[in-house]
Amino acid sequence: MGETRLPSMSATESLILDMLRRRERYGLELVDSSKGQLKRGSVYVTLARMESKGFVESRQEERPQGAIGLPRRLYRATEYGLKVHDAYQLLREALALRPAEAQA
Amino acid sequence: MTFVAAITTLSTRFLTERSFELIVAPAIADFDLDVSSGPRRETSARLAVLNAFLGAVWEDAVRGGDLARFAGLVLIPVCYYAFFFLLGLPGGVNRLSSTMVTGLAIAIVALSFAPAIVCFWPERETPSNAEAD
Repeated sequence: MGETRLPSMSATESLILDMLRRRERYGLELVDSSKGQLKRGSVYVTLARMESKGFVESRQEERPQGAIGLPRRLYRATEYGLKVHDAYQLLREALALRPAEAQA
Repeated sequence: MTFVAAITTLSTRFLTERSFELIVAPAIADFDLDVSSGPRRETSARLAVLNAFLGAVWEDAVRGGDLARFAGLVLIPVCYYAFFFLLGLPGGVNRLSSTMVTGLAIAIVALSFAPAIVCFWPERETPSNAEAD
């Protein structure tokens, strides 16, 4: 019998999805607006992992012809990513309840 | 050789195309942006690229299942060097202090990493060597 594997989502992934909910952003933009919660050196590892899980999608920025250097990447949250994020949010809130609050 | 060229060369040897594109290339793009806007943040930008590269190596090693294979390959020269050290020591390891034994063990593992990395780390396709073909 095939068992469904539940997707896992870390707090960092959750934070990134929160920031990507409204619009596409660059990796560096995410780091800058995270107030120190995301680190420059590790943000792309996390984003790559999230892309493998299907939580985010990315594309290269459009640049004028003849631009020097590598193009930057823009990230956006997927429907699936937001769905998992919201489910985890509910779960966290439910688990944070005290037994008395849960009965009410 | 510039810093970016060095990282790209190392990525060509050690990383998959996917890891280069998704992890190292965006970090290099941010580095370029920082350098063009002034040298103030250059050191931290370099560290970020280096971190991204190491993170990508780790991702590839763990995800690709290379870590166990690589550990096995390191173990072969470890046994080889350990055997010769044990044979060469008059009176055996018992005559050495624990610090010396630890030092010797670290030296053996460090010596064993180099040939395993140079000879056995799997060749990978990245954009740069794909273009060269």
